[in-house]
Amino acid sequence: MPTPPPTSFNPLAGLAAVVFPGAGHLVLGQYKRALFAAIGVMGLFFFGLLIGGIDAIDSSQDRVWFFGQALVGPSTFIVDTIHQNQFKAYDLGTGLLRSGEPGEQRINDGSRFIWEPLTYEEIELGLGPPNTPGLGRLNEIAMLSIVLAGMLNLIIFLDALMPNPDHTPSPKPGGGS
Amino acid sequence: MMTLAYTPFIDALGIHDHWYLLIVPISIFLAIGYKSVRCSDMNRFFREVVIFTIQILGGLLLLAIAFTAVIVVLLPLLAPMPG
Repeated sequence: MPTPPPTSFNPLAGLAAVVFPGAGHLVLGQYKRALFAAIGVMGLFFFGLLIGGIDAIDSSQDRVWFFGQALVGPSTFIVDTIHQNQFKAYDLGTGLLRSGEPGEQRINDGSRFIWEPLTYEEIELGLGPPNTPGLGRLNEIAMLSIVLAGMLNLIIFLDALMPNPDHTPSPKPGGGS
Repeated sequence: MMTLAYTPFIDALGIHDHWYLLIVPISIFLAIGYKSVRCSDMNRFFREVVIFTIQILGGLLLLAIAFTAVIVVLLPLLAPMPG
C-alpha cells in the first residue's frame, strides 16, 4: 500500500473558509463537502437567530458568547453591527446603549437614538421596541446554537487550511497522470 | 414607530414549553456540518449523518436519565429532606 502524501497546507482555501463557511472546500474542488459544510454551519446560525431573534448575537451584553459566535465569520459581525445600530438605543438614566423593554419606543432626539416611555394608549395600539429579546432558556439555546456553528466552522476551516489527502477527489481512471 | 408583531430572525420565538425539541434540529445541522469534513466516503454521507444524529440524541437522553436519577433517587438517599 503506497504511503499517503503528507497533509498539504492551502492558505487560499483557509482564507476562503474564513470569509464564508464551506468556501474553503469550494476552492479545494470538494463541492459536496462545501455544500454540506455551509448547510451545517449556516443552518445552526440561522436556527439560532430564528429562535432567539437578533438579540442572540450581542457583542456588548453577551461578550463571552460572542467570542464563540465570531468563529462563524463575517456573518456574525454583520448581524451584530445591525443589532447594535438599528435595534439598540441609549438609556437616558444610565447613558448606556441597551435593548428596548416593553413599554418603550426607540426615537431619535436629534443626535442619537434614545428609549422613550410609551403612554398606556400607545401600548394598547401595539407600539413598542423594534425587537422582542429572547429570555431565559430559549435565549441560551439560541446563543448556544450560534456558538456551535462557530466551533463547527473552526473544524471546517482547519480541514480546508490543512486538507486531508484522503478527502482529495481521486483522478478518474485512465485520465492520465 | 414599531409595532409589536412577530418578525422571524428579529424577534424571539415564544416556545418556552417545548424548548427541549430544539435539540433535534440543532443535532441534525451539527451532524451535517461535522460529517461534511469527517466522512471519508461521501456516498455514505447521509447514512453517517443519521447515525451521528442518533448518537448525539441518544447520548443526551442517557445524560438526562442519569442526572434525573441522581436528583430524584440518589440525592434524597444521601441527604434526606425533612417532611
